[in-house]
Amino acid sequence: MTEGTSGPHDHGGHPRLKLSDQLSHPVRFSLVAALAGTEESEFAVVRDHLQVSDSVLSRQASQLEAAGLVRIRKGFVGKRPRTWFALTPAGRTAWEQHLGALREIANESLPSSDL
Amino acid sequence: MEAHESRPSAEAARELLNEAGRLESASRAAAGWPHIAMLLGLGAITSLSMLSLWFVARFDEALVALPIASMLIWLAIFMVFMIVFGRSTKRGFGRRWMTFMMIWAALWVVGILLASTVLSGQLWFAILIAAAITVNSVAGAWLEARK
Repeated sequence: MTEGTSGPHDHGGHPRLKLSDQLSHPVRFSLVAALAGTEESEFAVVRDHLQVSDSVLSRQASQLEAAGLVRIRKGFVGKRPRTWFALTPAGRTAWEQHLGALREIANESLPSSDL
Repeated sequence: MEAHESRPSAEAARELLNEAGRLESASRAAAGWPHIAMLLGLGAITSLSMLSLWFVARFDEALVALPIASMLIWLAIFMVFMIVFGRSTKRGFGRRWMTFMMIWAALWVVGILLASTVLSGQLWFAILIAAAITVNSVAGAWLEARK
C-alpha cells in the first residue's frame, strides 16, 4: 500500500510512506470509511452519507474496485436496479493500514518544516 | 512534487481519523433496523403461532389453516420490509443472522414435529417452545441493535 511513494525523499519507515494513494483521495477515503462499519451498503445510502453526486460516487467506487479494494454487486429489488458496495478483505486490510499510518502521523511530534 | 510531500500534517491526520470514525458510526447506525424488525417479527409471529396451534388442536383442528395463514402473511410483510428497506448491513451481520436463523429453524421444526405427534395437546411444551423462540429472537435483535 505504498504506491507512488518512492523517490528521493523516501524516509524509510516514515508513517507517511505507509499511506495508500488509493485511500488518500477525499471521496475514496470517505467511501471506504462509510463501508468499514458495514458488511454491505447500497449505492443510495453511501451517496447520501458522502453527499456526493451519483457520477462522482460511481467513478471513485470503480477505481477502488479496479484496485481490488471494493466489491461492487449489481442486482434488482423488484424491478428496480440496485448497486451494493462492500470492502474486500484486501480493502479492509488496506484501510486498517491506512488508519494505522494516520494514527502514527497524528501522534508524531515532528516540526512543521519536515512536512 | 513528490506524492508523500503532500501527505497530511499531524493535525490533518487527526481530522481525517475523526471524519473516518464519524462516517463509520453514521453508516453503522443507519444500518440494521429492517433486520431488527425482521428478527423481532419472526420471533413474535412464530412464538404466538405455537400457542395458536395448541388452541386449534385443543378446540377445533379444522381451523388450523387460520393461524398458519396469519403467520405466513405477517412473515411476508416482514420479509418485504427487510428486502426493500434493508439497504445496508452491519459488519458481521451475515454470521450473526445465520446463527439466529439456525437456532430459530431448529426450535420451530422441533416444536411443530413434537407438538403434532408425541407431545400433542401439551400446553407446557407449546409455552416452552414459544418462550425459547422469543428469547432467541429478542437476543438476536438486541445484539444487532447494540452493534
